[in-house]
Amino acid sequence: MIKTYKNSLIDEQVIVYKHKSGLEVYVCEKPEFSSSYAIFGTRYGSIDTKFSVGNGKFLEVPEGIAHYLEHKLFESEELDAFARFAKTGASANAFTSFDRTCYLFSCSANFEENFRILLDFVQHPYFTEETVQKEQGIIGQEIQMYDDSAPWQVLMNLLGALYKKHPVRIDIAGTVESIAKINAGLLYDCYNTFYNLNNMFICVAGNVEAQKIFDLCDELLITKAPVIINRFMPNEENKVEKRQVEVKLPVSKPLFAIGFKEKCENPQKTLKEKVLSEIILKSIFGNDSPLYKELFDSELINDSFSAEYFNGYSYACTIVEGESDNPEKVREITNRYLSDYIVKGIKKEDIERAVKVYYSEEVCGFNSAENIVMNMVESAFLKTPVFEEFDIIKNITEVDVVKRLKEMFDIDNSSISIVNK
Amino acid sequence: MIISEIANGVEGCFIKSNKFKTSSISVNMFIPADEKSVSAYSLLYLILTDSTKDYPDYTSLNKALKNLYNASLFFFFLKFGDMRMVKFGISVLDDNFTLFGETISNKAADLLLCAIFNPLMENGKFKQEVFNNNKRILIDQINAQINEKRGYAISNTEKEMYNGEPASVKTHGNTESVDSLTNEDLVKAHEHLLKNAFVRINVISQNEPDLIYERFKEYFNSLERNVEKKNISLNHKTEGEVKYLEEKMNVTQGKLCLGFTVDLGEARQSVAKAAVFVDVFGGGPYSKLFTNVREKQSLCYYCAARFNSKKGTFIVDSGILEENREKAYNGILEQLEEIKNGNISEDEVNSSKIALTDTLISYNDQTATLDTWYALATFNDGETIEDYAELIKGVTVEDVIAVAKTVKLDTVYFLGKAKEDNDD
Repeated sequence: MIKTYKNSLIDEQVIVYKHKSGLEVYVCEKPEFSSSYAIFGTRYGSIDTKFSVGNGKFLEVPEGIAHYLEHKLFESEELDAFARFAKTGASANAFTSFDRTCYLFSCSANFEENFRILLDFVQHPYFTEETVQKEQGIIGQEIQMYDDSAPWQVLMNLLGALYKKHPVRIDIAGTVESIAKINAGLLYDCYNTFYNLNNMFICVAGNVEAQKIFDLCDELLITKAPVIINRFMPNEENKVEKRQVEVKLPVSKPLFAIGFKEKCENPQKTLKEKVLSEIILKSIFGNDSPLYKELFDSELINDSFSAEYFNGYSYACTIVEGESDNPEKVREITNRYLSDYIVKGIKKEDIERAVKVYYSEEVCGFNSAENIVMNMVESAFLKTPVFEEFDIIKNITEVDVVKRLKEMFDIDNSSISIVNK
Repeated sequence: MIISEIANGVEGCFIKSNKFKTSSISVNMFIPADEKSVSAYSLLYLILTDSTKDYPDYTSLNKALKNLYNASLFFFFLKFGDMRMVKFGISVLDDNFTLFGETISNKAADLLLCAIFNPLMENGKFKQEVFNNNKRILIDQINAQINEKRGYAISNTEKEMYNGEPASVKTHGNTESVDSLTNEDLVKAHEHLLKNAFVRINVISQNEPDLIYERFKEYFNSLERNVEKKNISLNHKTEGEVKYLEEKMNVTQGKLCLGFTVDLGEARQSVAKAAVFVDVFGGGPYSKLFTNVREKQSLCYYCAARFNSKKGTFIVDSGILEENREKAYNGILEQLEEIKNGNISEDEVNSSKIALTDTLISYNDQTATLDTWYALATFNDGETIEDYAELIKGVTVEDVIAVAKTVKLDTVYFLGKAKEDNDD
């Protein structure tokens, strides 16, 4: 089944093909581009540490295994994926986040060959105890690199303070100790669960033809019986684990991250909730806002100050971060402004300006094949119609904003993470 | 790409493109710089993009930009051999995509011109509050480099390696030189930059740039311009003896950086040969360093080489366990010896050539890479991306071996764990 989503306002279209396996293929043709970008991804990330298939027993796996699997999937019995891409010139890579793993390439020639390699290596795992062992040193160094990264530590410590049980508090790559427990058998268990096509998606943009990609998918995708995955998510209380957490690292100025934990009645926030959150954050924390002005003019923040809406399967929070000699004062002033906004709402003109910024960011996303793919991944991941955000922003009301503000910010349910000098 | 003469030492470069939803204008100013002037230009671009005569504080300027659909006033400071490129630009959504049919591109161009030529002044100086605020920001930015250890290690290696040359000055100078700047220094730096820099204005748009060029012409013609366009390709002078530098800090992972020199002629062909050599040595996953030091020896997550074509140097960096320092050091040098001894296959060199070419062609699809390429192209006889890709394709295995034979180790840097560990 093929469905075309069109947006005449920005003159773009995305074509979606539903493969018989259940996997959806998203394509945005950009014939004027020289290059193309493709992702083959799965709804599987670092938070999936306990799961079952169908009516089977729950299996608990070591922290960091999704990321470990990502590294190992590049290997095969014969030529590994990097060696195969070396013959085509594509730039190939992969990433694992809290809730997804994506394999990707970009290229300006040999698209079909590259696409064949991508679909082949992701569908053909090959793990032996020896090759699994070899990766420990490499990933061990990746973990240590992040141990020394103050921006990463301030974020992970915040998640640890906000969440008592939810696995979003666990580092994506795990720890040197947890990855030592990973073996080939466990990798196959995870692979066979989460790399079922029914749990996966393909997104492509650039100098490509949609029909050719769909034909290649029909030829190359190996359909297996779909699996029903049950994710075990511990019952996370609606209060933070710690109000404040501090560590010391070599930094020039203390780094801080303030998190506001939100209730998750459903595992995923709706697209409307996400869009509203983005617009609210732009209005309240942008460099044109009164809060920014007060903090900046009091020399409490510098231009590294920012806010983001951070959410995934059964977790959602707002994170405000930056550098400051007095993070507690930043928190106090931020809370004062938020309390005020919750009562009075946000000025209409500020919302309108934030909508323009949001809209422009969405349109400008079409400047690059990579951005187009990343946006399609969001649609594929949440199974929301493409371009729906364009309709949402046209119909935002003040009532929506106030309601969302109250949901997002419970000041009594927030934490601060500080990395001190 | 169409080049036009706009004013004395000011050229326009029009890249007509219908593939982007935005148009961009960038003013690229090339100027020699020492420690103090690097800091001055860095502070200058913060001040000029903070507020303007029309928008006298950052809140009103940012509101104006956001009302223009998030028009982005960008600035960028690039080390270009011993020179600096100071870039001011604006990128704005095309008029045909605005929600209510507003025309915004002209207003964005006005804003850029106002930022560069009409800053907010009081009694012949920048507004003191703006000056002070941005001085604080710049000092914070310089100090914050230590927060990311990989970049910090590379930057300190460069500083040691280019000791005594203008390229040793860090991207924004140091905190002492920023601190010593006065408001008057900044006014002079602004004037000096506008009068003496060689300027390349890039316009990437589907619309003709004539009106924009006219406006710039008016401004630049009103100045007494005194410009010399210099060829700024300067090779690094090696001192013969290898320099060693070591730092200790409260870190978990050690950072090893090796700085090398490579003989480089002026011809772009020799730059292409060296680029392929550096890439096959430590570029993609097919490189000697990735396949051996990372994959076979499992010593690190990254071990990569980056080439500086304007200095004839490259730096290899790796994050490792401190006890593996010697192993990694020897592993890197062994791989270099392999290439010097001719142990490099046609397949390896082809992988590098095809990957470099593929990446180069994709520069056409990103406004930022296109913009930077065509800003610097003025020093490479207008070389296009495709011209350079052809040079890369022409490199042979013998060329790579010949380049490897000219490589000399120049600087060794190590960031290690401090003895008195902090338990926090």
